[in-house]
Amino acid sequence: MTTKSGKEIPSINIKKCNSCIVCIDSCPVDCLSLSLTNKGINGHKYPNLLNENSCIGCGTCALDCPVDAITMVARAA
Amino acid sequence: MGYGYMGKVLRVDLSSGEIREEEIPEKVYEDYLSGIGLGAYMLYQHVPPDADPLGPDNMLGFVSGLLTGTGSLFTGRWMVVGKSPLTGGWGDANCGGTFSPAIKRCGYDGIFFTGISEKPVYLSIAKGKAELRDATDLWGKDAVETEEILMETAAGAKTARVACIGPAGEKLSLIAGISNDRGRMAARSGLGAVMGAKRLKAIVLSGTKKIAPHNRDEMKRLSKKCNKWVQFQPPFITGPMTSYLGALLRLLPTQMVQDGLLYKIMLRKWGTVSMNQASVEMGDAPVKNWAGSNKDFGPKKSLPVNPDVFTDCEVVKYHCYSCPLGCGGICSIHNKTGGAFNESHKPEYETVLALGGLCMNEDPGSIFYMNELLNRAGMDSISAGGTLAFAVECYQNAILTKEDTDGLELNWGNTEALVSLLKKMIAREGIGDLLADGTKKAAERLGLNARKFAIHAGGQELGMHDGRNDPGFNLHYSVEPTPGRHTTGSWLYYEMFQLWKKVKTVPKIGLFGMIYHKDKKYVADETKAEMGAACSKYMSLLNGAGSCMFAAFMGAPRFPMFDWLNAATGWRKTPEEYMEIGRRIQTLRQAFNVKHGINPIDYKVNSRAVGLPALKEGANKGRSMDMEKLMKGYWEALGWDTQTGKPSEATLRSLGIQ
Repeated sequence: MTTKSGKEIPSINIKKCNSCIVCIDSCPVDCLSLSLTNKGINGHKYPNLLNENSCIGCGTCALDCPVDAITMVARAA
Repeated sequence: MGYGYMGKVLRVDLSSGEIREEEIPEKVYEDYLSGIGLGAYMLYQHVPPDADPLGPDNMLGFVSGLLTGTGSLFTGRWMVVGKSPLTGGWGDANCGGTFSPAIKRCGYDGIFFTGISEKPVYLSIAKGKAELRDATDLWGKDAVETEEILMETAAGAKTARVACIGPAGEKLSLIAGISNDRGRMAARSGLGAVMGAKRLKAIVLSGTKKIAPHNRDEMKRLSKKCNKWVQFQPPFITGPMTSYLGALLRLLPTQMVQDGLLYKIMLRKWGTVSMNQASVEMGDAPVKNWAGSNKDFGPKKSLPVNPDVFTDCEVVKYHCYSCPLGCGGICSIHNKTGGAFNESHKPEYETVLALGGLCMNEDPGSIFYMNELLNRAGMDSISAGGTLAFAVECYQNAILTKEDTDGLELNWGNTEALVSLLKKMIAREGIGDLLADGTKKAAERLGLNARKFAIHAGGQELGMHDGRNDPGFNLHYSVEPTPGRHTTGSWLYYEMFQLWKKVKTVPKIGLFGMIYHKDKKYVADETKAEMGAACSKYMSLLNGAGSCMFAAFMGAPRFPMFDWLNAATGWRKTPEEYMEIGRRIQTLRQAFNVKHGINPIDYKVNSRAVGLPALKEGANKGRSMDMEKLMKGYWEALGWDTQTGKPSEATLRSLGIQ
């Protein structure tokens, strides 16, 4: 799940996510942000990887997510 | 170092400018957790008995929670602690947002200030370096402006998190609080004035330290289980229909032991404003400075502040750190405030009722406006609303005249006059200077006739929950080391905590734990005392862990705080052992008050709020309660002297308090 290589990025499963923003706080380089989606009850914001280039692939967000809604996946080539 | 906590605090002497780290022994965490417990441990040692709350000897602490950042849910609360200028004793205030983890990400469980700076300063921690910086240019700016400026200028690896005061704290208003996340308020106890007296404008934190739980897999297992209960959200009734729910609760002679899952559902849909109308109808919300009832502010009159009014302008839900519920919201208020403000945090129930029913104000636009004014000024909306209602009643009884108020006609429900008076309080202009320190201080200056209209406990205005409906509120208003607070206990809270399902030493209530006759609520017996003591111990634990009270409303089996604490720290404590930690924290706070010359009986809530004289109509008609008997029973249940309320020598010794 956690990688030091920087070759992976977080993939956020919105169905599992509960908007608790732990991942936003955990990210050491602030590459996650909140945005509105249409999922579930109206009005809740969910995390979103805004800029792949700023992500260092450390996996801290996935590690800290209390409900395992984030997995680290390979970057697109 | 152990797991879950950071093991040290930062000490800042604002007089000398010295900044140093202090290691905290592991035993302190085992005895007091972190948060409010760590705060009590520090203040009890370091604040001398004769310390002026606004002087250099007072210590002001910003503490995170033991569970914050460990993978638990609902544990993003931070607290500010200090000797209160409002009550003269122990003071604390609690807030959510994102500031709590920021304290730990900088490597500390708490940041403690002593001394007074010569000029306005703010503390910056970034890239592992703590320093005091000049805040002269920020002095006079409101809390939202201050935060925006500091967020822009902070140079950390992470987005900075800010806690700051607004003009109310700078002007030493004794009902000033401390703001974070654009107007969320650690409002109570007047600790914003302590920050202002120290000339500490803000704290700006930017850190990336890891917070390590002992057993992350177990933390996640517990969190996933808890999260399922939070996500359970069946469709619910409309906002105006909540008033009939309240009326039903008023009319039934018997009452079900309430399950907080219902309240969780309402919180998720509307936030705390879900109870606006229901509380008035069932007699929970005070009306007309505690002299009125649901007859004065019935369903038609309170309709403009029904829950839907607040969610209708909600742009997005707001979640505090690690909260899966999201009871907060960001509202678009441009139209509601005549263009004065664009957006604000959704007003809380307490704010709506304090500025609404308590003053007989039925104009929601003014409530949105005053809410934002208060958030930006950094002033407690409960105390501000209580003081406005006090002023109106003084005016109605000719204690204040039109000359005193600079021409304002303080009639019940006169929205325009209420808004103008609030602005005067924030600016400390004219009559506002007298009122900016709350009802007790104002009544002392206005004379004997005004005192009966000052509804407070120990100097602090009461939360918007009527102890004539639920005497548990009156008990906790009166016996807590921080008096006048609605966030510790009540009979309703005890029902929702469902502690008896996890803790062997607390009483089970109701027939088969399900139903009871309402009249039983008003009997001051041993069970009530034990219920009150259990609420205090449990909330001390929550405040040590950094947990949210609303989560605890879901019930102890669904909100696994004891298990989270063990998984985060590696301890193997039983729920009963944790409750003993709660008793230790509560007792140390009371010992702080005794050390500082507080006579606990003096915190007894104002007679009107107890039902002396009793109301002649409405939901709480004829209700009153023997508060002294109840208080003495509570003291006994905690091992405190039943006559004086002081912790006995034997209790202090057994808890290891010196």
